[in-house]
Amino acid sequence: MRKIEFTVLFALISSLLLLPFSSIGTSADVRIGPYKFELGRGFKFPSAPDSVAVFSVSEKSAVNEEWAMEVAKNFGFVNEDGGALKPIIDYYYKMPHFNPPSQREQEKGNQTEQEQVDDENRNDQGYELPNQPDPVWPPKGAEEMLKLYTFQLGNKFLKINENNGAIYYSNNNYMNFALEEGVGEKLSDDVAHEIAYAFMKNVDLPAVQWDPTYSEPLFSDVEVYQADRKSGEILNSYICMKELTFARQLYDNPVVGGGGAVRIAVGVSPKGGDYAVSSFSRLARILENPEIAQAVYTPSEAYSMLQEGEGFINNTLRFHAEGNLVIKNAYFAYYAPTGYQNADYLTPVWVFTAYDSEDPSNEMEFFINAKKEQSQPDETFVRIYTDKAYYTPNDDQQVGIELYCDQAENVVLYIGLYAPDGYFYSFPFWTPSFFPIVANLPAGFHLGPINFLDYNPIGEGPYNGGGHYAYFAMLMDKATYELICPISVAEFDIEE
Amino acid sequence: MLKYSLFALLSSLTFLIFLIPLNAEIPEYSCTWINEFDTASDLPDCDDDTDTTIAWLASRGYDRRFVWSDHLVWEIDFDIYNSGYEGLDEADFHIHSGHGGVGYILLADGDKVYGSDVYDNWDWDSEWVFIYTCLTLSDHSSWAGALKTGTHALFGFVTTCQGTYGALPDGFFRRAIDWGWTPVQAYYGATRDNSCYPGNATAIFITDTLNQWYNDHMWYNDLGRSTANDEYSDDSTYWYATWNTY
Repeated sequence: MRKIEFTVLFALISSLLLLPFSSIGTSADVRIGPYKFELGRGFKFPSAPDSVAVFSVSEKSAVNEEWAMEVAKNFGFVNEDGGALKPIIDYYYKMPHFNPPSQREQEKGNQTEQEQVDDENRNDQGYELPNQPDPVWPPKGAEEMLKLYTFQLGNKFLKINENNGAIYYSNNNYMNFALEEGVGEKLSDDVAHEIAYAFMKNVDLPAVQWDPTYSEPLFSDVEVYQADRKSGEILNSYICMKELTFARQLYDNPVVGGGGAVRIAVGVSPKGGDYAVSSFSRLARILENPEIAQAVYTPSEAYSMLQEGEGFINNTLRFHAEGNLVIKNAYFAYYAPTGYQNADYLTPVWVFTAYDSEDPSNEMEFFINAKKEQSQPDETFVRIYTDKAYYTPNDDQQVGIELYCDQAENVVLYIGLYAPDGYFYSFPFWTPSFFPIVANLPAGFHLGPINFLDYNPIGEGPYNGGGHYAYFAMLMDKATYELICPISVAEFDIEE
Repeated sequence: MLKYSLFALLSSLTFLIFLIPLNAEIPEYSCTWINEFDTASDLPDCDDDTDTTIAWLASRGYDRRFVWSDHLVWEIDFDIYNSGYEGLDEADFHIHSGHGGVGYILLADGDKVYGSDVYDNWDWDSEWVFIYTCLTLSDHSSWAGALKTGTHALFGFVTTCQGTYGALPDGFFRRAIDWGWTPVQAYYGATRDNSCYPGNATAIFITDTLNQWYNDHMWYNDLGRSTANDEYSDDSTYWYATWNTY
């Protein structure tokens, strides 16, 4: 698979429409309320990796109607002839904002005797609705945010999110909350696991490299209770569904956020005769292009950020605490957003688990962006890099570049490859001749780090077998062709 | 005797014929949202939840009863007096979006509304109440005490939860209205859908009767499915389920 992104790089530089590479996944700084943080007794900061990979989503992940129909077919959404059903195209909308009143008069809390009588009458009277007007959809002013492909077949539903490949399936014949007592109890963890595993195998979704193993789910029961309204005493209870959660990991680190787990529930048919998957939800995007050697904050640095409300990613957390927030645990993870967010990156985060000192049962998790922001360099440089130093013939190679110009310059950027045959080959056409990329760079221009090559080098361009290779990059003055910073070299070997 | 009964029956029918048109009511919604807090961190997205709610319900013909925000959300909006202005009990659907704590809704100025403040008070027009806050319904027995006769369902979270910029209410209404699911199925489905609720939490759904649990549907759902009856008379019990969103 060949994927060369040099056109992007080339166009960026030569057109001079250059913007500094923006940071990924950061949120605006938010002060975390009036809270004070403290470290719990016995808490120790975990060890921190020097650097981590930051993943983006492959273009191969793009979800289109054809793909959605193929998936739907595997889920059993077929027409009478066995052909694929056409989806209903729907959208998630950013709804128009309603401005509530900015003033309010004190409303009375007590009522007259007549009003009390009116209330009592109102309580006892039934009423009938007028006919429903025709729905107005989408609402005026609604803004299309993303496309959803939905399929329906009887009581089965499938929704595929074009934006982030998230799939939701349900079979409402088995999503029952009111069953005969004891029917659900017969659904053991093992049986539920067997049904869930068979379901996964049957729908045969394209694998993604961060899929869980499906061998060790977390089990939980959905239990229905009848309770006394005054005392809360439980009068009756029964299990109606089993939930199985398959947690994802990436490079042995947990994945948090909506993409962090595959969620399955197994339910019982109304009469209790059989079991089947009642709901299923999974994010399916394929990851690639790790930005290699990305520096991360240490957990103690991240804790300082937490105290200041910096880099707070899950800032929609709706908690309230009466006391201080006591940190009891911290760990490194990748954050995979879903909701209606793009989920185009997996952001490295430090997760801090905290509790309210006044009520330790009140726990919450804070995700702090662990990716260290690049400090502005103070002198001109260029850096070229590869993702590894040694490749087998089957390996894909990723090559990236970063450069900075401290003052406005008319420059020549040259990227070349030195091959075992003794020749220098010029990017982007891999000819054994000098090919300069000319650009007028503004002062303070900072590009990357950004990957611009991602392919299997064997048989491509200048690669002609195993041996020792070296990429190099140079920035030169356009008028004199003198170097304006040191040459950057990235050496690597390909298996003989 | 027979004559008298026939007369009474005819009188009743005549009365009903006139009564029904007089009492024809369009379903209503009400919303409260708080993004700015004096005693907690501000939130970025509670207005998105109510904007989504307004868009869905208004598009299906619901009328607006009230929408209050930030410091103009008061305790009386949750029907703490059960007389005069009764807040959420005057509308068929209510959503409150903001911060909560163990057993309470946090108001912008730091005041709190507990379940005990509204005990026995929801007995008029309220059918469905969505409290989209952390931890409020961890004391569900107290809050379920509000469901006297009129309210069919109360739902939210028993643990901390995350805002979704409107995605969770959207997921709920898509199922409850567009797909005609029962409210408990709609809420369960939305909280278990990665695209609607990405966080790790424990959700809860409460109904007043088992019939409401099993057979209820929102007014004006697109499939025209019928709404379950109000509880009458009050049997002093409630039904609930909790589940993990992860």
